[in-house]
Amino acid sequence: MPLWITALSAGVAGVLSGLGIGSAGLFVLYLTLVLDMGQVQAQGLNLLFFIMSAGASLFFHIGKRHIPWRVVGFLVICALPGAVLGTYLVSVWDTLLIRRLFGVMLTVSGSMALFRKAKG
Amino acid sequence: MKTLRTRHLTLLSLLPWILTGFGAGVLNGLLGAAGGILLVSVLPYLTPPAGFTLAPSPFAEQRDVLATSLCVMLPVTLLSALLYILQGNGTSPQLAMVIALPSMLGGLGGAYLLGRLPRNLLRKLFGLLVAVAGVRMILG
Repeated sequence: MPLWITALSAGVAGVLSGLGIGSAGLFVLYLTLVLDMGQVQAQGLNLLFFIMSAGASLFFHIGKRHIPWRVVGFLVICALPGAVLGTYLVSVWDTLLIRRLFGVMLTVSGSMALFRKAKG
Repeated sequence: MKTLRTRHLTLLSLLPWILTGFGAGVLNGLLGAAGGILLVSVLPYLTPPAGFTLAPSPFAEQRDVLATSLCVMLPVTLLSALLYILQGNGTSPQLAMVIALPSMLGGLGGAYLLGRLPRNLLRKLFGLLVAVAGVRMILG
């Protein structure tokens, strides 16, 4: 698969991410189904993708949105140990199980997006 | 005069926030994604304990929730990505470089287009695609 297609896919996923639609699943799907990348490696690349796309999109959000920074700080403190646990589980759980869990996540988030009413 | 509705800042009042944050972190580390989805879904329904804000909810609208979720997940994702690399689950530097610029440009473009595109229609199309793919992954 030509690299430019991968780059284009990342760009499209980035646009969806910036729109708040949620592109994470889509990009991992591309990496695993089209590039035949391993599930965990695809997730790792997806993390990098999110850092770049979300980091860039924050330029538009900061200053324009009401962001409760104390809430952000508190949630980050709570989330960091969770991330450590999650990455530990990736190293000990079977890849097929992780892939199926990812599938559950996709199904749930896709269904939520499909049936959720429009919000501001 | 507006009065603060005071509630004692107890662990019980913070528990939903703690669990939500922790859960988002676990999803981020375990699946490389979905932490933000959890935050965006749950945060608008969490009652803020006293001391966080005077408003009924910290979030005036859905876009605030999205922006807040991004701010939370960015440092968490940095940690997860670092741990993935340390575990040997990182990707090739070449592939990372290939996606770097398009990802950033895409993120900028999407944020710019927020409010200018039929987001609800896009969300439903995306939802359908992802849900079908998810079922396939579960069964596959």
